[in-house]
Amino acid sequence: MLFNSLTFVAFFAVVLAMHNLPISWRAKKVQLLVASYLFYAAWNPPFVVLLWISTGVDWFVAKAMHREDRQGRRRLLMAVSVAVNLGILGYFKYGEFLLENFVALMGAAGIAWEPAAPDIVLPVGISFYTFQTMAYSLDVYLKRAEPAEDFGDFALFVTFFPQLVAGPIVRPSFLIPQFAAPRRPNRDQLLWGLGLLTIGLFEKVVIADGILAPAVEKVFEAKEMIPPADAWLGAMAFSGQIFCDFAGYSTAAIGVAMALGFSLPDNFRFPYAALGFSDFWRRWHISLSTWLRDYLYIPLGGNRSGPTRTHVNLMITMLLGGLWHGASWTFVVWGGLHGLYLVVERALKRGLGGRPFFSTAGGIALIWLGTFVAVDIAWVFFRAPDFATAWRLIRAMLFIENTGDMVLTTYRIVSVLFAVVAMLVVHWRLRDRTIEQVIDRVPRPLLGVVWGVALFLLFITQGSADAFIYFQF
Amino acid sequence: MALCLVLTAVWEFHWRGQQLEPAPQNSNGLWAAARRQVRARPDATVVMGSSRILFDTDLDEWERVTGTRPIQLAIEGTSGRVFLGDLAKDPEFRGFAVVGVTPGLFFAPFMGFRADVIEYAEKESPSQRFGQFLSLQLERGLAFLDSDTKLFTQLERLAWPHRPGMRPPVEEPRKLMVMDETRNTWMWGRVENDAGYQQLARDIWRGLLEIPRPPPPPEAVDEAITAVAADVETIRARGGEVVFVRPPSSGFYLEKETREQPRASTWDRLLETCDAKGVHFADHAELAAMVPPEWSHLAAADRQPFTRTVATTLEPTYRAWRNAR
Repeated sequence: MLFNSLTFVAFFAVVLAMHNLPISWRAKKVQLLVASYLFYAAWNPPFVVLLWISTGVDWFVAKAMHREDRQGRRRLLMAVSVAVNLGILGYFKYGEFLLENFVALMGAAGIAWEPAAPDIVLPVGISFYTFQTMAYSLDVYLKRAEPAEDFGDFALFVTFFPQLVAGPIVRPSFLIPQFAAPRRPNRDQLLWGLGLLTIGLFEKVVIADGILAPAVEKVFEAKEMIPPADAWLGAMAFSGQIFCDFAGYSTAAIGVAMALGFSLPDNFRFPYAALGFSDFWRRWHISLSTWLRDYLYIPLGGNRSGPTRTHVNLMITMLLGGLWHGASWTFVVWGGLHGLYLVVERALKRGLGGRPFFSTAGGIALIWLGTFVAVDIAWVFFRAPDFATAWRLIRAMLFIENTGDMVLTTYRIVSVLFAVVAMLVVHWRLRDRTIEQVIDRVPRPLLGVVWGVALFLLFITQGSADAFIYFQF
Repeated sequence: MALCLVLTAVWEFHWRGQQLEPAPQNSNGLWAAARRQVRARPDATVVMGSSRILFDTDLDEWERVTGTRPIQLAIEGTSGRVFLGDLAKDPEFRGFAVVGVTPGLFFAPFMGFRADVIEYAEKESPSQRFGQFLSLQLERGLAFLDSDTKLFTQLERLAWPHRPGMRPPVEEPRKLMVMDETRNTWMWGRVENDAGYQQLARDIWRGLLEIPRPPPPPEAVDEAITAVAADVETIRARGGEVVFVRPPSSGFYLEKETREQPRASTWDRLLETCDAKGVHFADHAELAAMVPPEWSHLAAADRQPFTRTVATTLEPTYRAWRNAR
């Protein structure tokens, strides 16, 4: 179910009430586990089986690997986990994509073949929980962690509903120990949790869906060339939409977990305040970028084998990171662009890093805006439904063509500029702080007023229960 | 929380002052519930089409005339062909289909703005279904939950300066109707009693109708009629029956329809090709005398006589079909 739905409001109220009943900790964990399965089944009940398969396989594989000393057997067990998890992910998420490309390849070789449409339904959040369970087996394989002692705790780690479908992707060492001892939220945690839930929903419903999404749709669904101003506004609107949508989900997830007495890691740290692309990836979808760093980039050799190999590793990591987001070449290009940005950044740092200009206000502003503009250009490939649309928008944004009908009205322009400028100012001013630190400094009465108004705006925006963008990944 | 409640109460009273009353919303979820009723009663009378047949049909009156309450599947801006095609594909459906014909939609290749409601109903998740149930409970008590009152819809409707060089944007239709939980629908009072609002509704229709569009391909009417005839045959083969209704229109709307979808080459050919019965408003003096206030939909008071005439006219076909089963 969606956080921005009435069903979730009712579900969470019941879960919260039951979590505070005077019953044993084990019974509460069973409740949370059942609630998490219900949360997932509320989309498509049969897909709960996939969660059970993932849970069962990684539980037994990790136990067996821990007992096993022979490296060959351990490797084989790890391969079983990877094959099952990536097999499920590959079939459901990449099945159609692989088939399409195979057919195109055959066509290029002169072999005409038209297979039946596979019509595969993508289980929501499959990329998130697959990576989470794989991290568990990988940690045991790499001897970074021991397997969980309690199957119930492990099953809850895989299934914990606040972060099940769109992260943050939590490491086993972070979450499983939290299930060991009884946790009952105090009043402060409850209020913080509900406050963060409100902020997350506000970002999603009011800013992403209410203000920015209509402009994004106008621009990215235009079938003809549009003027540069509209293309830039559309790309900037999407940069705001994707942030408020995804960071909104993460903030809501952290809030829901906190209201139940659990802690989840930060997933965003004001990413549009980034000075450069490595800084951007330290601030954007942190749980995925650290996952890719720890389980892909570093095992590939990281930066330990010279600049060329480092650049190759960066490109492989970012290309696969792009593909993780969606089964389309446009996502691969998005990942590739970010890989290229990182490579170029490393080269520029080596060549220009010491120049005093880059420490002045002007130099910092240039890096900041340059980063934002380059990230916006990459977002075009992320959002565009196909390459034709992406190239059309890029041509307009780079002023290669300056034709076409305007698609954004004055209202849309004003609302996009208002939201994007406000977002950039907030990100810049808060770049070295967490949202908790910011809230902590606001006087309580003012906080109450802001909270009340935010809830009111949430009510009267009347979200249409649009799914979070990252659910499709 | 207290501040939020006060602000929400003020917002609610503001909208009640604009003649808005709490009522169920014409949501995909409510439509899906009606579609489920068709599955539960595959021999039911089912009304389908766009907003005209939706606004103009009084389900209570139909029930009084025929003894059976129809299920309302019509939805605004969407061709009746969409729903007929859906029922033709449903192997269980063998009921009495009443298909509303709005010429500009029915005989065009474009299937409508809410044709995806069928996919929604097929794929509706348990969460969405429960959400619809909860939403309905709130809609019973809160007028501001009307989709027309959304904050950003209201902001967009402010008098923003026109962007130089841009083709003037066409406004979306505003609130025109009220619906109950069975999707029985009637024109919203303000459209009838507020002359300014009524004129605004007409201006919006005119704006929409005057959008420069390439004319539909000449074969579009043939293709539409052929597709409908195939669906009619499929439904009849299962023991069902299909009839057609052309509700009244007036003013600029009627002029455009008369010019672009002449009756002889559309409606008459449809009935002839499908060998089906139908009610065209122009064939009945009492229907022809009804003038839709905003050119496209009947006033609330006209629904009952309209439905009575339509149901009475079609009753022999209905009885014959019932008796043949």
